[in-house]
Amino acid sequence: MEIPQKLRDYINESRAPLPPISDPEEPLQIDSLGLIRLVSFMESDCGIRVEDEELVAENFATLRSLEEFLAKKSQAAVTPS
Amino acid sequence: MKTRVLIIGGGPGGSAAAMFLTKEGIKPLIVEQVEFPRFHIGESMTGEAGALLRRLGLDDAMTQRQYPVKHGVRVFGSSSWFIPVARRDENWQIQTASTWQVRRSDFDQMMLAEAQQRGATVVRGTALKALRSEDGGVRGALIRKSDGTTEEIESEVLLDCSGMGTFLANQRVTGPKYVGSYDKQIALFAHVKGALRDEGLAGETARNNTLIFYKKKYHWAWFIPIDNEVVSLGLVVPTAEYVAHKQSPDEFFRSYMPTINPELSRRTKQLEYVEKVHVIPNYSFQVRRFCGKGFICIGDAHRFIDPIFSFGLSATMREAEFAVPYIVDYLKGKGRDQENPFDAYQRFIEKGTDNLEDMVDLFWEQPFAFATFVHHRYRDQLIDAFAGRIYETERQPSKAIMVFRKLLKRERDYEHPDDYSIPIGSRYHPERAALWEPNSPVEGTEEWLREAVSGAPELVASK
Repeated sequence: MEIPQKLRDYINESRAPLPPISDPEEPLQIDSLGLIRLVSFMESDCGIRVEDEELVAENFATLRSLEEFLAKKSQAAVTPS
Repeated sequence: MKTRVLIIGGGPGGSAAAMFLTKEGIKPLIVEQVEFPRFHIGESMTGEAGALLRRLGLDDAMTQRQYPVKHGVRVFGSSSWFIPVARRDENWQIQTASTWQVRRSDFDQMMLAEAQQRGATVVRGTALKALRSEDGGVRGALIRKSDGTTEEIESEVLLDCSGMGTFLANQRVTGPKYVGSYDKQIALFAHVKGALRDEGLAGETARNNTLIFYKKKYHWAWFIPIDNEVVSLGLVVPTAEYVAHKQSPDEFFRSYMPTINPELSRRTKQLEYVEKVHVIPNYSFQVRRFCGKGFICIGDAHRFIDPIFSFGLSATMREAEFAVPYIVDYLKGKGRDQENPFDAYQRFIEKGTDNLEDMVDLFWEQPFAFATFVHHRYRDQLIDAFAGRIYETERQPSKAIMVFRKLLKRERDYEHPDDYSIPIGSRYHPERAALWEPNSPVEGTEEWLREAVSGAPELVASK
């Protein structure tokens, strides 16, 4: 699964004043509270359920890792919002 | 001398047990080896520990002594969060509550005096040896009294409240004493003036909350106000790291503390030390079969996991309270022919404490998941756990604890009489023997440390 555009936008907003991410390997640089909010946003606004055992900081380290994480979940765990 | 219940150790576990026993008309005898007041660590209480003191009618005494009122625990680290002290009402709804922080020298003295005033007898002396009956049970202890004479004290039930001294485990009356998960950690602590507190009256920024700061896995500090001026500061790191620095406890404490977290550094710029830096290395252990014919081990006398989240005082006093109905039944004759008349109690305590261990382990293993759970997913269950509601009678293990186990890939099996709660200790160091030998060098704390720091690293490596 691709990272939905609104999730990309949310991530870019969360890292402000840092510039929007261009490199998928670049660390998101969102603090832990921001990550917790990010998970909430994924669930409430993108319809992506993040399971308890998926709450590992590495899944949210870069756009690449997030993409891989979403790909792994692609079928069962993803429902349209 | 004879007594129905003999209590070894006049700390809060022994005193609380004595007070709950006197409520039942049983007047125990407490043996305490040192004169109070004396320094002791473990200064913060959970909400349930506060509730227990209220059940003992000590609310006014606590208020009169102006112990700092704790409203919650604030954690600073890569994940920061706050957990308020809260109770459950009769409909199991969460309600705001508070508890206390205490200076142990003063609190323990108050508790022992109170126990004495309510009918317990206090004898100054050292327990030398457990007296055994023919069937292997415990029938009392040999005591050396403060005047140097020895005396056998016969009892129907002996409560081992000796703390980390683990009197009965060292006597090999219990099952084996295993090293625990955090046995490679060292705790250094002192009392200071001049530390900056928050200024609020309640909630997250209340002046007397417990603060926890962490740097990375197994590197952290506590900040616990114990009166209007003095704060208890503690530093916990891997023992090997302390030894590698080759510094005295005092030097290490002062130089390392500010590196834990910028927020801690900001709060501890100008300190006056009012208590020397104390040390407890390799503190984590677990004793199996800690109850049996004629004996029960309470609190640290059978298990110590880790000082984080301040569960010690709460666990020891609650175990004392929970033990009393079992003791009353036993004194009436119930279960005397059983191999372990306190088996049900033992399992009850073991399960509760395992819930705590799972929580501490998840905090270190998966801090991001833990923080997310605190923030929203399992907030109420974590409020319960931090309040010390960890026992079956308190709807435990909660959904959160079950999730912790799943994340830790851990199962707890209590089905078989001898394999409840297999100690999880040493899983990070499988090469080491799991048993804690009663006479290992670890016992002589200060001496062990001097040798370790002065260049005998094998003591650290092999223990």
